[in-house]
Amino acid sequence: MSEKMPQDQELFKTPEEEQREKGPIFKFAKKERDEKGKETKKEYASVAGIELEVNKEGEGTQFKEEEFQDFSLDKKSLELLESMAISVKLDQPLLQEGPTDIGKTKALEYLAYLTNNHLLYQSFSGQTDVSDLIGKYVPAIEDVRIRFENILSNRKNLSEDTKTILRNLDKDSKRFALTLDECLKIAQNEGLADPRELEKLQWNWADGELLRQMKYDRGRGCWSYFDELGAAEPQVLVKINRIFSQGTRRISVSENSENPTIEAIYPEWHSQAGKPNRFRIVATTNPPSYAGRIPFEKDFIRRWNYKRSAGLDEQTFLARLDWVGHQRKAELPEIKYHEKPEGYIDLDKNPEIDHLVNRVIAEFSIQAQKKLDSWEWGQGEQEFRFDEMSEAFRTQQYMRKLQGRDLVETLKDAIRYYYTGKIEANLRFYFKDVKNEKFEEQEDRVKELESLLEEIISGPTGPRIKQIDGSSLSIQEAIEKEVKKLNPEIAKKELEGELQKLDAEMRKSEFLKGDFREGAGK
Amino acid sequence: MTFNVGQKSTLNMMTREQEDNLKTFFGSLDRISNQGLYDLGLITKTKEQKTEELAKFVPKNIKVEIFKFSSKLVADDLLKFIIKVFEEKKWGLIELEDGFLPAKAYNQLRLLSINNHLQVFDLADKKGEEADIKQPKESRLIIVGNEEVLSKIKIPTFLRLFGPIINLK
Repeated sequence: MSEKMPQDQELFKTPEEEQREKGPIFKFAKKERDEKGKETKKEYASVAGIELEVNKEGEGTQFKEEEFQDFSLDKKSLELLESMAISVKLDQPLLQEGPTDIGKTKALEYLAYLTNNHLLYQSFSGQTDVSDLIGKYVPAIEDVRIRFENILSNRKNLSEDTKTILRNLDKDSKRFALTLDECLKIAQNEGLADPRELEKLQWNWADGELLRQMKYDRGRGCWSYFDELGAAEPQVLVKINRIFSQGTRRISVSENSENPTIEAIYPEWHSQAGKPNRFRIVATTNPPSYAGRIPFEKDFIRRWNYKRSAGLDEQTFLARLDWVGHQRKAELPEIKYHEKPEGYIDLDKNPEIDHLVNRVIAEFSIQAQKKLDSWEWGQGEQEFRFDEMSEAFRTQQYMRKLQGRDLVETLKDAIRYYYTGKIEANLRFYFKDVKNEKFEEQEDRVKELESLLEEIISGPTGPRIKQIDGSSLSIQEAIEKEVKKLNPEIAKKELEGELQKLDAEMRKSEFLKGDFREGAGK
Repeated sequence: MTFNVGQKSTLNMMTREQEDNLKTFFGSLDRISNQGLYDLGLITKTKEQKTEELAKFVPKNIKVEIFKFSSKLVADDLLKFIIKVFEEKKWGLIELEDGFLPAKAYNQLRLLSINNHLQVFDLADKKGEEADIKQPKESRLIIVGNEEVLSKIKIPTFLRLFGPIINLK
């Protein structure tokens, strides 16, 4: 009997179960038609339910499969992978906060490996200068260039004049780099060459790390990893803030009037050339309690999709130990698939439904901010706001590009991802079933926000949508009504889905009854 | 040469116990990996202890190169040394002579500590090129410095670069 079971069990599977059996990470190919109707086959990686296209153009990843032999796929790594995959998919800069050793870097590297993307690193320390990120003028002659770079990287020994020039650059939040004149003055102050010879040194602009990453692989861009961002000096953060505040992440570095404006050609180049832009940015940081780390300004936080992750719970800790040598698989939570299902609601074409979705986002942002204001925060804790438009816009994007089978469920997930995730990112994985001691201090706040969300969407005190007949509906009921009106096929498909499940359940139960009788007979 | 535990050898300026600890330190760097990654080591020595003498305690079958880094040099010099050590599959002992550790060098040490890769761009002989170099399984890097010098490093996250740390004071 037991030998027959696996084969017989195939009969009981619903399509969702079949998909789930592939595990949280798998690759697959899809045929797609381009704008001209030409059919092409594209490869995708499904990572914790998020579909990411595998890069097939230009430079690929630097990682090899064997580098991930010790990478344990557990709840925490799955949580980090999901968080990063969503940010990469939606092209939203992610700032992932979490203690050392939970696997933030490894998760990003694994994602880069799975999707064949090149990853470039920038680690931050108190010594990281804005010119390391953006760039500077350097002499063309190699040994003079090295000497000049060394001058800039060893500030302690500089003359007062040079220190003043550098301080002025640090203080001015509107400037990104030293002008050519300033570079010449520094070279002169520090005795780099005879003053009459200085200009003959052919000073050229050299891109810093961030510009290089944006322009990587002939302008396609690569993935950028800002490691230990919290260790950066405030003046560096102010300048990074400005880059993102421009919305398009286009950098104009016009530090010298004699030279043309230097621009990172992202993203205009890609749209003009019809090329995909592959530049993505993920930053990680330790919690503010760590040495050398002070909380970020709220204004800085809002530029990012900021998420906070707790340390490992005992179960995950053990799972990681059990993986080594034995590759024993950890118990994983249920995966939600975010691909566009049949019956996907195009919110751009359905303003009534979109408005209802927006009402939830707006109501939640304002009400959650009131709760945030009423909570006491420990000294040095990272502060943030819920009532920023940036989070609301990000939530809108999520609703359009990561819509699951159920619109209301997708909305709840999006709000959990962008809002509650700032308190505890692994809500999905811990909130419902697992008690995590490290999570306790956040648990009450998370529960409050969860109740608020439920109340707004479907509770008796949430917003009511008036109907023509004088009755009123909750937002959830109103959305469901609109969705059914929009496409009767959806209602039909929902019913079919339910029937499929029932059918599978019935067959399973009949089978087990038969099995039981057989066993009893023996 | 024989000497009692607690008595310092004039050659190494170390007690027998310190020598044993140093052997254990090098041995653990050699044999123990952390989730497939090889750690960077840190040795805090006294001013009198010579890095060349410390290197003698590295397991016999391993070839070691020593590099002395100071503000007279540039980050690229250090990176070229690391690349050479990796190419020759040796261990590298890097003595910080005056606490100078520029951001470019720290970045690469950090990268080595988190994923055993070097990612260098625009090195003198490879201008305009990016090179991604993986630390071979035979190579290890150990930073060496005396307490006074190491205390000059003002990078708050500096100590997080390392796995095993030994203080020979």
